[in-house]
Amino acid sequence: MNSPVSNQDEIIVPSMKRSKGRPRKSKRSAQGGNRSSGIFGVPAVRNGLLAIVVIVVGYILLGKISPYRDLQFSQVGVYVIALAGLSLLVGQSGQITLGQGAVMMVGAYTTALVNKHLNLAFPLEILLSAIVAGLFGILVGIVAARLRGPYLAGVTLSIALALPELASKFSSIFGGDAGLIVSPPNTPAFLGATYTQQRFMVSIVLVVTVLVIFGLANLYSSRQGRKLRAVRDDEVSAELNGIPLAGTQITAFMIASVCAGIAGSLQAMVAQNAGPESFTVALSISLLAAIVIGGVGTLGGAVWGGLALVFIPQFATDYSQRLNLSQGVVANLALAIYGLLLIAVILVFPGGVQGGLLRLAKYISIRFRSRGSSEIAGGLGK
Amino acid sequence: MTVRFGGLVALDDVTVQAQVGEVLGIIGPNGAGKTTLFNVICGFVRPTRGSIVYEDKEIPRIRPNSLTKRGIARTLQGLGLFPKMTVLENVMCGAEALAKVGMGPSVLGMARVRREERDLAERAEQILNELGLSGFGDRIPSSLPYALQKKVALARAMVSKPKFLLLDEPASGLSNDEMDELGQRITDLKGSAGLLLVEHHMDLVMAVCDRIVVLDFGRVIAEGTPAEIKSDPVVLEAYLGEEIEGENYGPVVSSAGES
Amino acid sequence: MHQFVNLTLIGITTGAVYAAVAMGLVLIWRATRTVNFAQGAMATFSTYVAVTLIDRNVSYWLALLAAIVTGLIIGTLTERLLMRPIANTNPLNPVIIAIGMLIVLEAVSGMIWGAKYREFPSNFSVTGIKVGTSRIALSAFDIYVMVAVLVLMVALLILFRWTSLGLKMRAAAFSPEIARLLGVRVGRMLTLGWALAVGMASVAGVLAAPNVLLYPNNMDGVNVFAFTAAILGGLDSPVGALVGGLGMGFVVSYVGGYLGSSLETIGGLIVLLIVLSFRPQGIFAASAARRV
Repeated sequence: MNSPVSNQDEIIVPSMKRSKGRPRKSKRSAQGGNRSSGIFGVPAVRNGLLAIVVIVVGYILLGKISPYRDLQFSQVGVYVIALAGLSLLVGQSGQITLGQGAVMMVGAYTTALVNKHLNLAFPLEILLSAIVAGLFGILVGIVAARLRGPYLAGVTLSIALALPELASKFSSIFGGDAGLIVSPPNTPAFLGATYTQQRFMVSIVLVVTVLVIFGLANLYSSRQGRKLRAVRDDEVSAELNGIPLAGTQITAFMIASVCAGIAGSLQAMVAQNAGPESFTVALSISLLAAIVIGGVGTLGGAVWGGLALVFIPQFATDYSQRLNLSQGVVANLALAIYGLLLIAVILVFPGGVQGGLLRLAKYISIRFRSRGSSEIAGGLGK
Repeated sequence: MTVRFGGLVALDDVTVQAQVGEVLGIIGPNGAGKTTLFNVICGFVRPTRGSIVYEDKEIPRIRPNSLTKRGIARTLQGLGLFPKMTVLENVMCGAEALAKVGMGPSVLGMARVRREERDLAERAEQILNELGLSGFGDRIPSSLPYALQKKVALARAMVSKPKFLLLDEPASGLSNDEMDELGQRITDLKGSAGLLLVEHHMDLVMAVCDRIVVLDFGRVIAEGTPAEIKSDPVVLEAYLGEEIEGENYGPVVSSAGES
Repeated sequence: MHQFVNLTLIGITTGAVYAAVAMGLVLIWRATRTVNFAQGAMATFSTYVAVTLIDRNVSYWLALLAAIVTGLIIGTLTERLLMRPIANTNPLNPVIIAIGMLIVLEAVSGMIWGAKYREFPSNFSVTGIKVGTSRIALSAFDIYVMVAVLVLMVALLILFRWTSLGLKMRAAAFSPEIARLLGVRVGRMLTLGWALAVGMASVAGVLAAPNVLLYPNNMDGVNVFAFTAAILGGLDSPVGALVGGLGMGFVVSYVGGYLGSSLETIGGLIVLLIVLSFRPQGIFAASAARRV
C-alpha cells in the first residue's frame, strides 16, 4: 500500500502547491503498528545522522574547491538558512512577507555591533543575532497576526524599505551608508596553515546551515508543524481544535526571523561588513522569488533557492558577456531570468523545483512498484 | 443571554441548558439565531448580556482555542476540514488539546516528541476505525465523497473525547441511509457526552433528541420533548409562517446555511 | 510658516501622484482581489516609451497618449495571459505573479534603456510661482499634475457611477456569478479593470517622472507609498485611495522637510502601523465580520 520512503524524505514536507498530502514515515509506522523503528525512529537520531553525513561529505568536497568557490558556497549557505525560515513562514503557516531581507539586516547589525563593542566568541555572536532577530520577528508577528494577505505584504514591504534608511540615518551607531566593519572569526591554529580564513568561514556556514535544516526538519514533522499548517488551511477550524491563531502565527514569524537573523549574522562575517546596501528591498523580493522557484513550504526548496540565488546571476553574467551583449543586458539578465522563472513556476510548474523532483520521484516509484508489487503483496499477505 | 449586532437582536434572553448523557436539539427557521448561539458558546461572539456557566462555574471570557481543553468540541456547518492535510493529520489536529510537548523538544527532535506523535496518531486511527474510515488516513479530504468528509469532521471533533459535542448541521448533504447511521452514532455518543444539535432535518432531530429548544427571531418559543414540540401550536405557526413567507419569494430552501 | 506652506503644497502634488497610482491599485483589487505589485514598474515602462517618443520630437501630449496606450496594453496582457489562468487558486499566486512581472519589467527596462538616470522633460514650467516677493513651491507643472489627477478621478467617478459600463464592472467585481447570470461579460470587465488601472498608473508615471527622474526602478518608492496609501484607505475604496494618497503625500512631505528625507519611509511605516493597529482593513473599509 505504501511506497518505500527514503531517509531523505523526512526533511521534505508537503508543499503548499501539491494536491496530495503524503504522510511522513513516523506516522506511517504508527499506522502499521508493528513496523519496528527503534532508535532510528527518533527524529533527532535519524535527521542527525543525515546531518552528520552531509557535513562529512561537504567537508571532503570543500577540500577540493577554490577560494572563490569557498565564498560562493558561504553565500549559498547564508541564503539557504534565510530561505528555510521563509519557506516555513510562507508555505507552512501561509503568511507572506516581503521583509525577510530586512530581518537579515537586524541579524547582521547585531553581529557587527557585538563584534565592535563586546569581545565574544563567534558562536555567541550568532546566537545573540538569532535572539535579537527573533524578538524583532515577534514584534512583526504581533502586527502581522491582525493582518491578512496584501495588508501584511504592504507592512512587511514598508519595513524592508524603512530599515536600511534607519541605518543610514543614525550613522553614528550604524556606520551610515558604508556600514560597520566586522572582523571575522579567527581560524583555529590546529586546522593547519592550509586552512584559509575563507575555508574556515564556509565550514562554519555549512555546519550552521545543516543545524538549522535539522531543527526545522524536526519541527515540520512534529505537532508544531501541524499547528502551522492547520492555521494556514482554516483559521476557524484551527481555533476550534485548540490551536491559538495569533500565537501560532507569531511563532511562525519568530522562527522565520531567527533563521534570518542567523543568516544575516553569517552574511556579516562572510562579507566582513554590515551595510544597508546589502539588505535592500531587492534582497527581500529576491528571497521570496527564490523560495517560490525552489519550492515553497519545503526545506529542499530552500536549498534549490539558495543555489539559484548564487548561480543564476553567475551564469547569466558569464553567458551574456561571452555573447558580447550590451552592458544593460549583462546587468539585467539574471533579474529577467528570476522574474520569468517565478511566473513560470506559478503558471506551469507548481511546487517549484522541489515539487517537480517529488513528482518525478513518485512517477519513478510507481513504475518501479508496479513491476514488483505482486510478489511483495503476496509476501505480506495483503 | 442576549446578543445584539448593532441594532439587531440576534438572541433575546435565551437560556439553554445541556447535560452529559442527553441530546439537546436546537431548531428554528433560518436566521433564528441557532448558529449565533453556538458562536456564543464557542467564544466567537461575546454576549451583550448574560453568561456561560460550565461545570457550576461561570466562564467570564471564553476563547475558541480553549474549548477543547475544557472538553467541548464543535463541528462546523459545511466541513471546515484542513484541505491540504491528510485525513489522519486532520483528526490528529482534533487531539491537539491532549498534546503537551513544546517547541524546544520538537526542534531538537527528542524521543518524547515521537512518542507523543505516535500516541496521537493511534488515537486518531482508533476513531477513524470506529467510524469506518480505516484505510483513508493517507488521503486528502477532497478526494473522499462528501459523506465521508463529514465523518472525518466528526472524527476530528470526537478524538479529544469531549464532554460536550456541538454539532452544527451534521446531516446536511447526507442521504437517508447516511443520516440513519449518523443518528445511531449520536445515540451511541450520548453514553459519554452531552450533545447539542443544530439541524434542519426534522426526522433526525425527532429521532435522536431528548429535549428540543425552538428558537425564532432570537427568542425561545418552545422547549420540551420531541413529542411535545411536534404538537406545540406555537412551533407549528413559526414554521408555517416561514412557509407562507417563503411562497412569496419562491420555493423554501429549508436546509440552506445561515451566516 | 513659509516652509509649512511650501511643504503642504509639495504634499498635495506628490500626494496627487500617489493617489493616482493608489486608484489603479484599488481598481485592480476591486476587480480581481489582487494587489498589483508591478504597478510602478508598469508605469515606468510606459514612461520610457513616452520619453523615447519625446526624444524623437514627438509632442508631449502624443507621448502621454502613447504611454496610456502602452499601459492599457500591458494591463490587458497581464490580466489575460498571467492572471486569468490562476484565478481562484491560492491567493498568494497572483501576488507572486505580480512580483515576477515587477522583476521582469524592471530588467527589461534596464536592458532596453540602460540603468542611467534620465531627465524627463516637463511641458510646463517647474519653477515656483511668485507670490508677492517670494517664490512658493508651486509651479505651473504642479498645478498641471493636480488638475490631471483630478480630471482622471472625476472621469473614473463618472464611469463607475453613471454609466452602464461602470455598473457592469462593479457588478462583475462584486459578484461575478450573479453578474454572469445577468449577462455581463465578466472576463471582459476584469480585463478592462486591469487595463484602466495600468493606464492610470502610466499617467501617474509620466506625471511623476520630471520630479523623480527616470530609471528602471524609479517608481519603486512611489509604488510603496501609493500601496501604503491604498491600504490606509482600505483597498476597496476609491475615496480611500484619494484620501490615503493625499495623506501619504503630506506625511512624506512633512517628514522629509522637517526631519530629513531619509526618514520618509520610516514615517510612512509608522503611519501605516498606527492606522492598521486600529483599523486592520484600512480607514474606509466596511468592517468585515468574521465568518464562522
